[in-house]
Amino acid sequence: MGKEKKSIRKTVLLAAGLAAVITIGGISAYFTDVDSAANVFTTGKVAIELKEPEYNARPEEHRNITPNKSLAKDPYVTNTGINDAFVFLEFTIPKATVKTANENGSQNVAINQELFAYGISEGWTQIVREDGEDGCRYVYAYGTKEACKPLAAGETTPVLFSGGAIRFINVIEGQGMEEETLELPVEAYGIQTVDIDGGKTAPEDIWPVLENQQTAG
Amino acid sequence: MKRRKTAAAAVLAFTLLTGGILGLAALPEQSVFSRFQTGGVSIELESKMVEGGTKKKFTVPGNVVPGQRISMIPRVINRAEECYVRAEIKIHGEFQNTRVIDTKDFYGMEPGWVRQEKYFYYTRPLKHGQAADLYQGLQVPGDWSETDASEFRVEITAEAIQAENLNPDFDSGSPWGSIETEVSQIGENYRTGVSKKTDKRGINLVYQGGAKTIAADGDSFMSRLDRLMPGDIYSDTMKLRNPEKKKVRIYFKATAEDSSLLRRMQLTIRSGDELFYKGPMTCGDLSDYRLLAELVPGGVRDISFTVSVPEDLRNPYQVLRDQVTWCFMAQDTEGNPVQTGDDTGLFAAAFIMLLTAGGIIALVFSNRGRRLWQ
Repeated sequence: MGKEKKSIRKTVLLAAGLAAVITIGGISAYFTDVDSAANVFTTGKVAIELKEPEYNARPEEHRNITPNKSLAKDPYVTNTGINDAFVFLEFTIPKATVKTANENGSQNVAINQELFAYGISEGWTQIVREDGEDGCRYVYAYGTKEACKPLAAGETTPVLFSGGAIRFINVIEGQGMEEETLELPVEAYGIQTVDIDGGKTAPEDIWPVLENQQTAG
Repeated sequence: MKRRKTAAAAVLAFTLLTGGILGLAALPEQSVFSRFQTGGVSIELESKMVEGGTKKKFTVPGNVVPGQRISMIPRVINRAEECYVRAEIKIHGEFQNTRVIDTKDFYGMEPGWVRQEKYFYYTRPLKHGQAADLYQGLQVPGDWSETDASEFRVEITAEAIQAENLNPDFDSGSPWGSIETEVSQIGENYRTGVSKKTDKRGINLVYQGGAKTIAADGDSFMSRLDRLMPGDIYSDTMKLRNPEKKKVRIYFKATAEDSSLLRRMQLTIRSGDELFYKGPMTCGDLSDYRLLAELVPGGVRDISFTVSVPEDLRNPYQVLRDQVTWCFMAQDTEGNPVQTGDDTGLFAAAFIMLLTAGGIIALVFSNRGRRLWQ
């Protein structure tokens, strides 16, 4: 019995020893070192808001407009996001083939023309003009022809139309413009200012990217 | 009479004992020492960025946007012994409705890195002071919107392993094998320089019968074993020479601290072709003199020493120093110890014996002595 116990003990010890050898042989040591670094990135937000406070405050002025009448039309953009944004405004001026009167009362021949006259405030640059029979589409970029101007968070662009107003042209009555509803929608667009198509900033480079996003969206 | 004899015997015994002890202590020795120091591995991970055409310390940009390219250059710098490095990139965040950022969003990966499983391995060892950049930057996915992830964290871990005694296989899934890395604590001021540990100078111990000495042509042996790394094996040779006309026996012992490093380091000593010692560098079994070699007249014996550092030595053994002293004693074949080095003990022993002998004689034959003993 004693010998049996000794033999079992020997076997157990041998097995333990082998296991230790195998374990030690499985993982090497050597001299080593470890160092680490972590960085937290916060994603930003590009958000804009189009406002036309005077225009929206006087809806009654938009009805039954008479020739040569000035209307408040004051679209501008506010950056309501976190990141700087490049900003664009798009609008379409309705057109019709009409005769207009001059100041001295003489009449002009009927031509297809824009029904509103306006000026553009400094700070906006035209980059698109698509002329159609029923309307002329425009896109203006905030900035210069060479480069868009970043609109910082919380900042506001100048009003697009100078004086904050547009004027209905002096259409001669009786050409079917009476009680016509004329639309002049304005759309605003904004995009991040960094790393667009390899870091481009010119409006003619940025606008196609925005257009594509709008199409894909 | 009986009391006289007893007293004389006691004095004589004391004399012999004292003289004998001092005599043993006076056996001439020649000693040489060996010094050892282990090396270490240390790296530093820093992040750089390019701004305005120049590289500077990385700062996290605020509010990243889709498609944004973020200049972020993780750089691993070697601050100690030559080493291999690898890096792991982890990205954490709550990503909604879009794909997560992963390693393919990093651009400008530097040449020299290969990916195996979760690590990027740099295939060339870095010398002290050299650095390896992992990539140039991260590009946020262009199809993200601001609602997809409000925050994400990029974590980079760099690891290093000694280059010495390691042969990584960068074609395998685990180029370093099964390695557990750990933080090194050797600090920033590690000094390297040209290692001398491959220099083999040897040492000659020559029996000089006329001058009754063993002369060594140096006081140190294997004394340039600095920056030892796990897996190192170093050998050098002592030459014992007997140019005299008598046989001589050379005895050997070693003294060393019982340190953790010396307990792990292994020593093998061969006297000619015979194994003399194999065991830890603490040399516990060599604490007393043992016969190392018997040299015939004109005989020469090579004593080879092989020191090995175990591969499984881990970071706590970095930058440790220790020393071992090798002691030699020679005895000609007539059993007479050969004088080497310090003889003070011998003279002291002889002086005590003479004094005592003289004292005994005077005591026995003086009147006072006669009265004392009577």
